[in-house]
Amino acid sequence: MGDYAAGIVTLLAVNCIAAMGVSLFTGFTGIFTLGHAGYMAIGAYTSAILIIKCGVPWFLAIIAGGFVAMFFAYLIGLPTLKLVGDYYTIASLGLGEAIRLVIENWNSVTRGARGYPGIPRYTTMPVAVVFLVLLAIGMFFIINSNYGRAFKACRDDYVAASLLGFHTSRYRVLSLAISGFYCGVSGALLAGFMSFIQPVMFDMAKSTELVSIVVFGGLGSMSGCLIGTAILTLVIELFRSISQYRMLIYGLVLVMVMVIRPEGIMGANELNSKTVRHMLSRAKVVARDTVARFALIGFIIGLPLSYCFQPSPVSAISLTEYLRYIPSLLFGSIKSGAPLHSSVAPGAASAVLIVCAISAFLTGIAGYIIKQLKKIDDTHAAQRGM
Amino acid sequence: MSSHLELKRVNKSFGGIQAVRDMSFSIPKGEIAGLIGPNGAGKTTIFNLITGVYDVTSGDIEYEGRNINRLKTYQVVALGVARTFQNLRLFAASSVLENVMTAAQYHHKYSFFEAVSHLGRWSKTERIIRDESMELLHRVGLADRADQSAGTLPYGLQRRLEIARALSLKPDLLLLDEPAAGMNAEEVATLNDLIVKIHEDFKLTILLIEHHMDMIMQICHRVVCMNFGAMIASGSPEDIQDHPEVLKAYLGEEE
Amino acid sequence: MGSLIQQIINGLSLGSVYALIAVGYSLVYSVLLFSNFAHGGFLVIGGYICYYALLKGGANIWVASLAALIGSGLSAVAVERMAYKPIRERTSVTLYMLIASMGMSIVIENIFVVTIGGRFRALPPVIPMRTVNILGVASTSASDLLSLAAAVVFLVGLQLFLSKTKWGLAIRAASYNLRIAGLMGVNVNMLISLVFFVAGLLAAIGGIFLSARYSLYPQLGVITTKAFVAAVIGGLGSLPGAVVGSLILGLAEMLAAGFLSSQFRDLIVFGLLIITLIVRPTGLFGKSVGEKV
Repeated sequence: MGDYAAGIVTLLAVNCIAAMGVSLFTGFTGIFTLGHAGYMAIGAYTSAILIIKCGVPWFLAIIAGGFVAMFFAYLIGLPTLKLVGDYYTIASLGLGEAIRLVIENWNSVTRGARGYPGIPRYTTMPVAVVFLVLLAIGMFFIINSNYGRAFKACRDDYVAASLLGFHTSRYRVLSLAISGFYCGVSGALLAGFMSFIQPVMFDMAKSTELVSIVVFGGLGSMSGCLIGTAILTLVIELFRSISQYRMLIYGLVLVMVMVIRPEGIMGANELNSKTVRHMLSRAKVVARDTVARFALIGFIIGLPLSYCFQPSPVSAISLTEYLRYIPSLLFGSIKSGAPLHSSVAPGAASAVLIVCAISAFLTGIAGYIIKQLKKIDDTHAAQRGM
Repeated sequence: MSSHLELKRVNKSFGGIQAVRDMSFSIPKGEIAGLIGPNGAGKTTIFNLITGVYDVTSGDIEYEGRNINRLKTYQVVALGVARTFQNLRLFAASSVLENVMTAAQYHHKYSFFEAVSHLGRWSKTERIIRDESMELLHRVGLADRADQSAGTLPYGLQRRLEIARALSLKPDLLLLDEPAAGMNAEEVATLNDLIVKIHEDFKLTILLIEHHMDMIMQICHRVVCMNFGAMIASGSPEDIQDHPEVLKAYLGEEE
Repeated sequence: MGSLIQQIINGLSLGSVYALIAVGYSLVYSVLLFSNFAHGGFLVIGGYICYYALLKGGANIWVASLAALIGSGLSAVAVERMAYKPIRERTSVTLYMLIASMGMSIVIENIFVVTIGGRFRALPPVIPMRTVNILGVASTSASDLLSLAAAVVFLVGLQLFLSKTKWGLAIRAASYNLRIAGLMGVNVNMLISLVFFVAGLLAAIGGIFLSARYSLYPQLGVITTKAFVAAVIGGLGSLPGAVVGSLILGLAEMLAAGFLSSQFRDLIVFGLLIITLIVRPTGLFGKSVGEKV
């Protein structure tokens, strides 16, 4: 595996760990946060400082990063998790920014806004993947235990939950502490991956990204959150060649997902044998009904679009060359397009094409599911109407 | 017989509105008591006061002789009180079984470490929770629908599920808020049997709010009738049936 | 003493700009019950319309401002129609609109980045910046006084609109219960469009003054975070709360900058937010949220 691919996998693993933390808090406990980048920052700085200033082995430093972030999450959660709804959301935004500002202004310890350089590159791909696997197992175990049921009960109906004997505010704080731990570890791994950290890496945009990944994957679905992270991280990587459009497309995707399928990719379902079987049994119908149609539309739109999106006239290729390149893209034999592959343009073009195909596919599924959901809604309405 | 639950001159006001006025009644241990009254009389408010959802403005609520005015909801549950809700508060997206398990885990705990690692007591305890929940589902006749999501159950079955969920807390005092609402006569009859049965099997004290008078008459040992937040009558079902104030409260609108 | 008064005036002026933004945000919240994070985008749109009308259109400041106000208001309506309307018609989960609004905020910001670039632009000197001496005790810039005056005018205007006109009454009714207002015969879609138009319009004024005070760039909308904080301190959905919260925030920020260090400005802002919410979980003027069981 090349360095580039290994880098992407590492980054993916790091993002997944943070996303799982946010998924537990937002997806399973139902509290919307805009400040979890702050806990990543705490983890990253703790780990970096411990390694460089105190000579702590990196492995322990990562764990310490997680626990320090967890500790702060707990302290912060005690007074603030009394807040409900958008009040907590804005408060969490303020808290996340406050953490960043403290780091930015505490020059003697954190070296301020210019960043913290010279962190050893301890986060190799195996390290990140092992952490991801262990933490993912832990997370799936938690949600399949009495704690998971308690979190979900507090999310779905906190009055009913408290009348089933749950000390709801304690579970909210616990959930925040666990998610703080995951984000802290993720931040510590990020520090070891980048070898340089800066407060601005953990700003509100990062928090927003975390929470949108979770919503994109499906609130209340841990596997959805992992799939969502994978798709978004890869899409962002694919779009690197047209970086100025990247954020625009990201924003559009966010809006489109909310408009077309707000439940996210997985809804509240986990990816298990049951849902997979269900999906497969529907696949035929879906393929016949919608995907083909949408994929065609996606292809028709995607083709000229991908041609227009060539990054600059210098590296632009002629239309005939470009058309010649498409079959190789579609049928996978990238090598036949080798002479073109060297220029930047086909990278962008293929990115756009792939994304169009993916989005066409997703739109197809979404369209189908919306139809199914409407049917369920109708039967519900009929039942209620009795 | 000692009283299981006793209200002494309980008042509750929301801002300027007096929702409950000088309510006093007591339920002896092991009885089924009915709380009746027109809509808006303050019956559900009484439930909310007992369970700690609201704090009383003045007066005392005593549970087995102990004052529970200031207890939080989860502390009241710890004493052995469970309730159902008039407007159904199931976890609609979760499965029927999971709804009951969420409550049943109250008596079967394991540590966080065991939850994260699935080691130690985890598998044994989870199995106990599951078995207990399934048994309760059998009892209320929902075992064959255990995997269905709770929100898709018909209304009547959702009410039964709420009862199963409350029972899994192993309460001594069960508060049922209109368990028969929206049911037809046949369903009410089977619900009657169910309530009588669980009352015997679990040695419960039951307080229920209900509008189906025949149900009250059949299963309650005593009845409290309230209107406009105050008690207007209490006694045996027969007494209440003919009580002039009660008749006025229910029929008085057609003056 | 002089510097204290000066900082207070600066603080009130900054607070008044926050108020214009916070009131629009709070107005949207009061009707649709979600935090519209795209609100900052409206401000940037207003700023750029004003900039180009002045620079390329050769308009005077009044025409340019008018164009900015209307343009920003209309784009707010368009955002609502495109992104929020399909969601609110399908579900009552406001979280989805919140995420969509974050998406819209990113989209608006990056449309500007992609089309006209991310560089900082100074508004032509149409708003007088000269120093004004106040009764010999303090001096402040004319634009500060102007923004204070403009805020007062528009907020009073909004108050009159909400209390005296038929549509204002409908908006207030909708802020109690949108669904029932709809059942009572209010055209809900029209009403929501109107609310967004007003919110966009107020944001544009804030945008013009902010771009005169600092400079204009696509990320200028980030400053609305502070206006959100102000609205939350005041109590979500409460318009007087939004104004009071904004003034408190503006004052705190300027006093911190003047007497502590400008580095602590933002920290003070967020500290104030957290402390207020711990003491009063629904802000200064917010309705307490109790749930019917």
